[in-house]
Amino acid sequence: MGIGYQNRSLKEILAERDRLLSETGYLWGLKELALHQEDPAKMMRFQLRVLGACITSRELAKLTAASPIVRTVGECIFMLLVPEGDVAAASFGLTGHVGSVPLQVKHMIQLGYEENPGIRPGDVFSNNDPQYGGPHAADNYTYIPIFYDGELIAWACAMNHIGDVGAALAPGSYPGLTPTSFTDGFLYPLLKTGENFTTFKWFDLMWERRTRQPLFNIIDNKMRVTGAKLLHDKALEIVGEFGVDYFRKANREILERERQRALNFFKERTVPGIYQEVNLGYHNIYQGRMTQLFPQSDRAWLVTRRTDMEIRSDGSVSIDFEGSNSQDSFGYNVGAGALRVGLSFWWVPMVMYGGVLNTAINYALDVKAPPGTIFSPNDPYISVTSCFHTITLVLTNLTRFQARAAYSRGIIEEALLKEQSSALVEQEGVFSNGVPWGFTYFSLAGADSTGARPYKDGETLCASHLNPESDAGEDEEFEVYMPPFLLLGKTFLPDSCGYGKYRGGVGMQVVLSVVEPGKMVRQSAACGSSAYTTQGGSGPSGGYPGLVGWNMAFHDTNMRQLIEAGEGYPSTLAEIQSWIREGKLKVGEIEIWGGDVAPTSYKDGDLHVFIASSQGGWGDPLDRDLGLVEKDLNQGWVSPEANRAVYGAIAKRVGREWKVDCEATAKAQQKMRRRRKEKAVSAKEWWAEQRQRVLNKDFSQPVYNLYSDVLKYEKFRRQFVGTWQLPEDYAL
Amino acid sequence: MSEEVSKENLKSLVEGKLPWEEVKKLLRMPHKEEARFWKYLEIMQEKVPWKEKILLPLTDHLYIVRKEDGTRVVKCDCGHEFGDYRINWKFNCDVYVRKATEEFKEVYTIDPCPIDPGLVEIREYYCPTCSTLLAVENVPPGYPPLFDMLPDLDTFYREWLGRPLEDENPGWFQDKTAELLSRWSAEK
Repeated sequence: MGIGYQNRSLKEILAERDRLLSETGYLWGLKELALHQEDPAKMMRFQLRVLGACITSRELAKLTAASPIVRTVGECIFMLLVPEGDVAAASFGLTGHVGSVPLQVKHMIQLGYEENPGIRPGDVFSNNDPQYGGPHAADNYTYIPIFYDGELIAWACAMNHIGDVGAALAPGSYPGLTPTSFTDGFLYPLLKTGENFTTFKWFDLMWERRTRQPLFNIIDNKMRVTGAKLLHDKALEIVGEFGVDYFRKANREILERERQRALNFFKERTVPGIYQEVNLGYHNIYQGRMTQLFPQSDRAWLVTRRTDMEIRSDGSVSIDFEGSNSQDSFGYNVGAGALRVGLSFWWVPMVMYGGVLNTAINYALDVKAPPGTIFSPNDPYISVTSCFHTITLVLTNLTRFQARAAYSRGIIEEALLKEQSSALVEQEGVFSNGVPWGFTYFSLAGADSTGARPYKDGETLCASHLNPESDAGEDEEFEVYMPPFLLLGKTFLPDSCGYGKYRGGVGMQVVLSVVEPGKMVRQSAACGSSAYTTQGGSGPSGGYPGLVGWNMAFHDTNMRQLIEAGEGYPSTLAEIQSWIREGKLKVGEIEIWGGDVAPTSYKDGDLHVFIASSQGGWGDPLDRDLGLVEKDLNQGWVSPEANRAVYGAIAKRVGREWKVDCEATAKAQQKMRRRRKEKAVSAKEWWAEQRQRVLNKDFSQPVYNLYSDVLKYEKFRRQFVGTWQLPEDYAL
Repeated sequence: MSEEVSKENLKSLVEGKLPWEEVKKLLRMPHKEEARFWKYLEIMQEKVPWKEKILLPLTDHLYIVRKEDGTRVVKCDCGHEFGDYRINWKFNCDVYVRKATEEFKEVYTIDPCPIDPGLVEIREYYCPTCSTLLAVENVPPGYPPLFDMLPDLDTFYREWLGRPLEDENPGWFQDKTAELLSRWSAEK
């Protein structure tokens, strides 16, 4: 006897859902949405009640958290699931995480959890294992089944991002060096971690013994259980109000309605067809650090996140990642759960905004990736710790597709470029009294700049694509939890955007200094981006892709002496550079990381500059309105030198304001156009030269390695061989 | 809130002149009106100095148009034609490739410029007639030019807009880029 509707097992319910979808083309065969048609107002009231239950649970649970990652940045979400796992409604917060939840419940069902360990009222289940649908160790999910009269009618699910996962080789939530899953930190697969809505004691001990930040992690777990219990109770209140039959049917109708809404969205706002994009990354922090222990990881990788999208006649969308790199012995692989979360990070704010948050995406979006590639790893022990580095940067590709399609369709207001830049710094140390600590500095993860639109410049530090209810973080609070790091400055970074007729939002910079680090302090980053390559791909209408982010460290400085002498301190990268040029700031070694940061030790007085979220432009820079040039000059976003170099804009100060000399600018721009003519060659000539280079295999080692890998995949190989008209047996 | 954008406002939006408060009204529309595309085509057609019928705007300066001889080609607003829209128009541009840090710095002006010339090149695709910059590609050397968008025009007009094109043919939705490159190869 099963725990589902009419004593059916969850396996039977799951099979019936899939059968009806396959046979009818509608979720649960719901060709007609009867409850919507009978009483739309009642349906709307129901929907608002379940949505309100999720939001209320989140807001109350947040108050019980200790970690500022939850309390301040809001990296958590609370979801109401139907018994077979689809999310029918969810709170604000880390919204993309609706994506992986159906996979995790499906695993529980298929593993026979209904019989062993059993699913009973008051049980608490937890998971963060990528093998069972979790994205990576940092993302922790808690499930509480909701029973009514002996029947499982729903699940309450809570999720949050924790600050340290206890990884072996690097600290924080995105540990920087992880050659296998055995160095990914504390991973636990779909455990029953409590009964009677109470966590078993041993689970607290696991956090205590397996992570650097046990107190936050234990309290985060309590926060999840608390919120899920609140949602459980609220759901039963709603059942009391609407009746259990209505509750069951209404949740299914919401999902089918949203599936249809998604299909209509694309038909209403895009153009069917095929779109191509690629996003780049260069990951070099393993090289030279893994030689003896993990020789398979002792290298650097140039990674392409190739994405082809097809918008079909029925409005459904197919995304194909073939042409991306193979899985490898690094943390940048993306499991099935992370893939769905990453795609939801695009889907939720760009497609499903305005509706109830759900997992209808899974029925309107096909995803393809050859097994054994970074988007579909088939090694159960592969590391996925930096999965979101790979998958969220695909947002760049997805928003470009959508922006191009919206532009062509005339829905120009919705054409928005968003070049993703997850930006975290991972830290650990040992205080002088021998007590270890670990933390993830989230300051720039909570608020990004945006890319250009075909009618408007990008904004600076305005919103987080991943967490629509986030903010820039309260650095004063973060400082408390990373004692050796003192924040000297946090502001925008002039000239750091991708230019265009409309420029992307400029990036942000944070300057940290190290003060009394105790016995040891080190820092790494593995969820940044790769300014070595820029975001890559095709900038729309002639705009330049954004740089995204990078890091710099200034070691062995005289900061302590400067401060003691009352000389003050530099608070921006430009000030640091200027002080060094003046000889005021003495610096030993300077390290620049265009991508992730290898675990690096710091001493008292060292400086670290953390840069994120430089976004891409739209359109030919020479089409830029000179009024916008003046605005940038007067706001300080773009320097006079950059305006001259990129736009040909000649400006001078008149009183306190910058004014563009239109006549001189017109002449400079004419010269730039002539120069374009002089320096360019016909595509045919360029193609012939490039073809010869490809035939000669004249590539740098990273590029050679890249093509050696991705040419294994047939579709990309056909394009590559066809483009350069190569012999069929071309190989590297 | 208006459920339909006026042609005047849509034109202002295209020109980047629509006030942000008005743009927000468009962003908040629960549905985009069916007539929008036809207004959009009218605006674009009035913007260009030539008469060929625009079937689809592609970028700020490029359009797919139907010519009198029945072909569908990509055309710049300056009048330059890039040939059959099923062939990636980038192969009919002028191309300039930035390969060195000094060249990168001219368009990525931040100091220090972190882009590694061993990993990527910056390709700039210009209109051969008006020298407008039509696309920028940051890719590893040797990477096939991206075919940004190959629209399925017949499906779009018939099934989504309800106004089938008179010259429908399944052959219109095919990537023919390799045919051009094959000809180039044969000429060598």
